[in-house]
Parts: sequence; C-alpha cells; structure tokens
Amino acid sequence: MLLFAVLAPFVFALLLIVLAKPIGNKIGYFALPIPVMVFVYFLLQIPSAAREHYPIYFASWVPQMGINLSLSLDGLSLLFALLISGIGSLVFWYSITYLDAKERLANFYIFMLIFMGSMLGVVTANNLLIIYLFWELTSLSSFLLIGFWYDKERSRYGAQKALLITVLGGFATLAAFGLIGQIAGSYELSDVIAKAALIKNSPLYPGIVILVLLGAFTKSAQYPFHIWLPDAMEAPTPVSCYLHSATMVKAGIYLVARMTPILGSTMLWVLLISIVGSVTLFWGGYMALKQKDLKAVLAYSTVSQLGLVIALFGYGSEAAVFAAVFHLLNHSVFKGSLFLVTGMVDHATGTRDITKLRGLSKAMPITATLALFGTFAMAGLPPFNGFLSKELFFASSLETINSSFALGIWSWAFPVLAVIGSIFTFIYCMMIFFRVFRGGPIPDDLPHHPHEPAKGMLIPTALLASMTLVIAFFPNLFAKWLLAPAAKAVSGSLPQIHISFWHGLNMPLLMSAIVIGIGCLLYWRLDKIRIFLAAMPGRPSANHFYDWLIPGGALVRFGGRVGKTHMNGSLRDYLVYILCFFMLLFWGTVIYKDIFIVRFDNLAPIGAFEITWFVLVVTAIFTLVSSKKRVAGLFALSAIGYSVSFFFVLFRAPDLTLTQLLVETVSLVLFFLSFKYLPKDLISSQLSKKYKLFNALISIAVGFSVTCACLIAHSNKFYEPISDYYVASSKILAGGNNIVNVILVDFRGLDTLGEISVIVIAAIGVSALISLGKKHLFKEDNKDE
Amino acid sequence: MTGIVPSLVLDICLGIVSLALLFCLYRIIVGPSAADRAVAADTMGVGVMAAISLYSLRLGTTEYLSAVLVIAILGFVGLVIVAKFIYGGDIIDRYR
Repeated sequence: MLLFAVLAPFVFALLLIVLAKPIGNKIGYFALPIPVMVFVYFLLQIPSAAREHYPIYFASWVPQMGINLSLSLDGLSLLFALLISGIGSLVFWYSITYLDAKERLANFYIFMLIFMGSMLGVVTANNLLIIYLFWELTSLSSFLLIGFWYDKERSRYGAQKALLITVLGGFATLAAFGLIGQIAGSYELSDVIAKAALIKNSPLYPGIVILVLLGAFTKSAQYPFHIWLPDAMEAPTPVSCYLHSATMVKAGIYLVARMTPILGSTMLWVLLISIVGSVTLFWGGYMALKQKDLKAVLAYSTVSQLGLVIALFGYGSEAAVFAAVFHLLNHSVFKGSLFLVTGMVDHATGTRDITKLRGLSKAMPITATLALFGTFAMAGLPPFNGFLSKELFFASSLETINSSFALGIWSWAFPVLAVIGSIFTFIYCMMIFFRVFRGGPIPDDLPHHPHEPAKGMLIPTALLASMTLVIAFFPNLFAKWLLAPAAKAVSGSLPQIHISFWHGLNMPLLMSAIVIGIGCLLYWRLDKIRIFLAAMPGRPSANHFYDWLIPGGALVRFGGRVGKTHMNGSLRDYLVYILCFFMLLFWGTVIYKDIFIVRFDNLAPIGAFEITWFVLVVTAIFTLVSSKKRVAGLFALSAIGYSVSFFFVLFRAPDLTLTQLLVETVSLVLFFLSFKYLPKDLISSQLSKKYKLFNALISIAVGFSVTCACLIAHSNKFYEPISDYYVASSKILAGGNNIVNVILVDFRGLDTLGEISVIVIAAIGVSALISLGKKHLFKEDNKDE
Repeated sequence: MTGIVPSLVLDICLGIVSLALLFCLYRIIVGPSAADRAVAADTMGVGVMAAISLYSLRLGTTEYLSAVLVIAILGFVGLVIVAKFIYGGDIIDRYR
C-alpha cells in the first residue's frame, strides 16, 4: 500500500499521457483525485506513525550493490508526505482555474504528478541510493515545470539555472552517499544509523558532511546557492507555490533532518548548518526588501525562512529540532497560501509590481483577508501559527549561547541574526499586505480591472490560509500526532513541549516585542528605507559568477579552448595521440611489471623466402610513403597486402591468409569508391622536413614497440597457453575439428553474437545515412556537372 | 602429396615467382601511368596465387587452396574497378 501511494502519481502520469487527447482541457479534474487519495492515505497513517508502528515496504532490487527498494513512513517522512500530498491537492485544485484551457495542460499535470511522486519517494525512501534516485527526479521534473512557458527566455534561464545548481548538489549527495555506504557497508538508512559512530570517527567524515550539506544547501536555496530560487519564479504561480515554497526546497531540509542522526551533533555539522542558516535568514530578508515584484519578495522570503529552519536544525537541541519541524509546517502553510494569493492578484490585475498595486482590499476583500492571514502569520504576530514557532525559534537561538558548542562572545551572533532577520521578515510582510491591499484608492493604470477571483482559486487558498489559525489554536494536537513523532526521528527522543501563546514574560517574548517595535518604526519610514536599500549593493552574490560561467559562456569558451588544443580535426594528429598513448601504456606496463625479457632462442628460422618477401614488403612500404599520387600509393598498398598474405602462408595460418586477401580486395574497392571525394595529390610533398621526421620517429617507435611486444610475449610464458585447452576439448565438448571455428561459434559464441549485432547496428546506420543523404548527395553532383 | 614433385623443382619455381613479383613491384613503383600500375598489381595477385599453390605443394596440404580461390575469384574485381576508374573517373554509374 505504501509502495502504491508513492508510485501512484507516476502510474497516473503514464495514464494521463494516453488519456490526454480524449479528455482534452478537463484533464485537471482527472488529475486532482490522485493527490487527494494519496493525502487521505497518509492521513490514515497518522495514528500508526505516532505509535511507531509505521508501514514499511521492502523489495530487493540490485542486491549486489546494496540497492533495495525499501520505503518506510516514520514521523518525519509522514509530516513531509502530508505536506506534499496535502498542498499538492490544493495546488492541483487551484491550477484547474488558474491555467488557461489553451495552455499545454497535459504536460503540466504530468510534470506535476511526476514531481509529486518523486518528492514522496525522497521522503519515504529508506535506502540512500533510492533517496538519491528520487532526489534527481525532483530536480528533473522541477526543471520541466519551471520551464513550463519555455517560449519565454527568462523561463529557460531560470529552469537551466535551477537544474544546474540542484543537480550539482545532487551529485555531491551521491558522492556522500557512496562514502557513507563504503564505511557503513550498507545503504539502508536503519543500518547506517546504527553505524553512526563509525562514520563520525572516520577520517572521511568532514568530506561526507560537506558533500551532504552541499546537496542540502543547493536544494534548499541556502546562501550562496539561493540564486536559483528567485529566477525559478518564472514558473506558473501554482508551480512556484508547490515547488518553491512547500515541497522541493524542503527536500534539502529533509536531507539535513534525515542525516542528523547519522552525521549530526558534531562541531562541524552544528556550526556549518547554523551559520549558513543564519546568514541565509538575514540575507534573504535583506534581499526581499529590495524587490519590486511580489513573487520575488516571496521568493527571497522563502530563502530567508528556509534559512531559519535550517539554522534550527543546526542548533540541534531537542527543542530546536521540534521548533524546526513546527516552523516547517507553518511555513508551508502560510507561504503556500501567500503564493496562491499572489497568483490571484496577478490573475486579477495583470501585474505583480508592488509599486503599482494599491488598495486592492476594496475590490478583492476575500483575497485581502487571506493575504492578511498569510502575512501576519509569516511576520510572527499572534494569534497566528507563525508567532508560536517564532517564539520557539528565539528560545532555541538563545539556548545556543550556553550550548556545548559555544563560540564565546560570537555565539551571541545567532540570536542577534535571528532578531535582525525577523525584523526584515516583519517589514516585508507588512509591506506585502499594507502596500498591496491597503494604502489608498485602486490605481487606474492597472492592466486589468481588479475583481474577486473565481471560487476554484479562492477555496483552496482559503483552506490553506485558514490552517494558519487552526494550527495556532490547536498547536498541541498537531504537536502530539505529527510534530513530536517527526522530531523524534531527528533528535531520537520524544520532545515534551507544550505550545502556548503565553509563556510569561521571558526573553523570547522580549525579542518578539523588539522585532515588532523596531519593525513598526522602520515600516513607518518604509519608502525612505526602500530607496536606501535600492542603492545598497545586492552583493556578494553568486549570480555574477553564475551569469559569467553559464549564460555568459565562460564555461563553453573554456571547454572549447581545451577541446581545440587537441581536437583539431587532423586525422594524423589523432593517430599520433592514439599511438603515443599505446606506447605509453605498453612501456609503462613493461617497466612497472618489470617484464622486459627477450629471448631469441626458439624463434622460427629465417630462410630465403622470408628474406625475399621481407624485401618485397619493405620496398612496397617505402614506395607507399614516397608516392606523390594517391593512385600510385594505393597500388603500393595493394602490393603490401598481397605480400603480407604470403607471410601468413609461411607461418601456417590459412584462415588469416584468406581474411587478408578478402580485406585487401574490399579495401581496394572502397578506396576507389571514395576516390572522387579525395584530392588526387597526396600532401606529403608539401610538408616540412621536421614534420616528416617527427612522423618517421613515431612510426619507428611504434614498430619497435610492437616488435618488442611480440618478442616479450614469446619469451615470457607466465601462464599455460589457453590453446592447449581448446586443442584438447574442442572435439569433445563442441564436436568440431577446426579450433578457430569452434571458438568463434561455440566457446565464445556470445562474443560473436555481440560482434554480429555491432555489424547489424552499423549496417542500419549506414542504410539510414544513405537514404537520408541520397538526395542531398546527388543534388551536389548535378551542380558540379 | 610430398614427393610427387621434387622439392628442388618447387624451390626453383618459387624463386622464379618471387623474382616475378619483384619485377611487378618495380612496375608499381615506376609506373608511369596508373594503368601500368593496375596491371602490375593484378599480376602480383596472380604471382601470389602461384606462390601459395607452390608452397602448398611443398607443405603437402590443401588448407591454403581457398586463399588461392579467393584471389582467382575476386582478384579481377580490383582490376575492373581500377579500369572503370581510369576510364571514367568514378566507379558507380549514378542516375542523373
């Protein structure tokens, strides 16, 4: 059942491919039940997960490599699975109205389903390599979704950026998983957790931590890898809501949470995560205030909030982990609803520019109310859920001062950054609500006249936004059934935390008061602050580096330069590389293995025939090398071939003689077929002496090496020759007298089959080339005549 | 089969054939025209054919005779192709 719940989106995505044509533009209604059913399934698992009798699924896939399709649904997985399927259902519902019937709806829903399935796979997988598999699938499907409007240049840019950055992180994750698997001897999460001490004591531990966190930080858009997220906002708003606020970016957080029992509670882990998280919290808030586009504000706000959650996981105490899980849930709820609100504003007014929008609450009162829920929850104001988790966040940040990883006076940086980041959050939340929905009459220059959006968009948004209040009023219900089991999977113990609005007069409340006080003060002068901030640099940002590297073409130019240094199109040069490498390999092996033993006894006798034919071959070779006309060279080549074939006779190899003669004939024919397209004169006469000397040296060296190889092979008998076996058993086992034939068709029949298939493939390729090229080829011919 | 023809005779014959091949090679080297070279190359094939036959006699085996057959059957293909090339400058009559 668990397996089906995870794979159902994929199955239905495949079905939709077939059904897309007959269903037409009603496809959304067919796609909607899938996330809903999956959501209901996961809802039903809540009691069992809370009692720790969670469902698992196990099937061997590639047991030799330790890859098992094993899934398990513990508290942490369940929380994420509920977010993915729950918000997924609402987003699917919302998209039905949001997306115009003229859009490529089938693509949209198929990509969304694939994405949802991969996300569910990431959070339920119990095998590191399966996590990686689904992890990359999320990157891929999000690439498709971000680039949904691929005719827009910015969409393509954003999609490429997101893909490159997240896949870079994915690769690091794979490397980390490989190292973990090597140390722990298994890729099963439960086995790996049991071997946590072994991994922490390994000398590779710092490398593993950095690689894992590289994966998590790129996916979760942590500084300095956050740059892809704002550009990913080019996607349709439901996609932005689903991928870039509620689910995909949470995958990185999931990875950090999942790896905490394995890699966590060391100095390196705690400091790296909490510093990066805190810096991201600060930087995201700062950048959000600089934006004009409503969606860009939300994008940077997401970056900032993700930083907050990551920092909480970094602090690592039981309370901090609980707060992290709580804020994760809250953030998904309020940020999701805010994105949906933005979509409605965009839909209704045709713009998302904060400087143009004014007083929309008059025209869109319901939307404005929903926006109020979202923004106030994000700002951390009572009575919304954001207030509760923000209090817990402040409390945890204060704990770090006294924690065992104290940095002396510097540990005060964490609460200070927390407060500054929260002030930024407060200001832009107020800005979103009061600038867009209040603040004077509706301007006349909006592209559309604003109106309340359709029910299909309002209801899902309202459901999500009302959750901010539901969670706020029944926090302990959520804590008991969802959050505490999830936190236990990370910190190992069931947290006993009672959430309430009033904890008495304490530091966190004071910090909240500071945030609100300074926030209000600064908001009062918002316009001046925004002018000031606009003048402030948005640096240091990795964007410049990225733009220089990828769209700026630095990487391509560099690759081209590297390529051109050796791939110059000259066949002669390629041959030189191959031959030199061959000699390197050969002489390297000879010296490394110390096998340069050459004995001249037991060689075949050299008689008059051998000398005569040797003279023939060598003379023909010199003729070939010195010939000026291509035809003359070709006949010399033919003479060499005939002479060599007689050498095979001398050395008692009738089959080789036969082959050599056939090859000789065929190559003569092929040469003459292609003659028309080759220059008549050989260019060797125009080449410089130096160039020729170099060629001669290489040829002589290769000839010498091959001679030595033959002599060494002849003089060293490391093993019994395999031919004895064939002589003895070809008649008995295969019933054939001709050993070569028996080897080809019997002992190594599969190899022969492989070779034949290669020939077949080549033949198919050639016939395709001919049928494609015929017209083109003969058109050119006609032009010549 | 050994003994039907004395090996001295076979050696002398092989020497003569080798000499003939050397002359062929000389013609290939000096030319002067492509046709001279083509005929020389084809003659070389015939020489190799003779040499293999003689050598088979000397060894008393029939294993090499398939090689002789190949030269006999396919050797002319090369000459035909070269002739066509010299005549028209191209091998295949393409439809126009």
